[in-house]
Amino acid sequence: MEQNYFDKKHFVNGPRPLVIKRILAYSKYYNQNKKEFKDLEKSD
Amino acid sequence: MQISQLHQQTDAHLVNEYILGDEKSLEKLIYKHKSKIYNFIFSKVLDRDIAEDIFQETFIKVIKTLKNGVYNEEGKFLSWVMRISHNLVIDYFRKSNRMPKFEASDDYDVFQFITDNTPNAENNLIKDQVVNDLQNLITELPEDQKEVLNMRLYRDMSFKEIAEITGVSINTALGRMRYAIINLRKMVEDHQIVLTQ
Repeated sequence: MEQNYFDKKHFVNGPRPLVIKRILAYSKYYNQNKKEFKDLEKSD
Repeated sequence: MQISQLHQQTDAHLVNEYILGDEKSLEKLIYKHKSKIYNFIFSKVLDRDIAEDIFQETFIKVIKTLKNGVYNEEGKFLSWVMRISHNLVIDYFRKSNRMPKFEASDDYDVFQFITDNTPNAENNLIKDQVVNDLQNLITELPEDQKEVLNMRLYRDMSFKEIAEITGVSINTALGRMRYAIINLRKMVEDHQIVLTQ
């Protein structure tokens, strides 16, 4: 019963908030990181 | 974030806003669809951490596509994201099948063949205890046997050298050593001492 409750809980709640925060942070700094990566490639 | 607020804005509108630079629109899209997408992934992989990894990877692909301006499925955002997550789930199972897996059974465990011979604190303690017990037992031996045993074990002398120093024949020295070992074994049994690690 505990096990079923555990699985059900994950079905309802979705991912942990930290996962969403990571995605949003990735999005926020995407352009900046892309630019820095390109600059690094140029300097190589 | 209120669910009613989320439903007021269409996916296509939120996607466009996000492409134009509104980071909040992505957050709205995620909150709007997170349960459907996550539950779909979780229903396949049945592991919370893996499901979260795939969920994250899905949105990383979404972000890359939208930010690079190559998204062209207006109005079908959710089905597009679900397709990405579905492909990632397939990739996950392909990778996990390719990787050699080994599961230990009751009869066979690979870790029984992988041993670490470095003495740990517990082994050192046991070793010290064994040495102490043995030294105590040796003190109980008759003097002539104790003498031969000490010379042989702790001073690493040959039986020829022992015979010369103690003034007996080599055979007598060997005999005393033999009796010393027999007596030690007897004492170990009598006192029920464990001399192994």
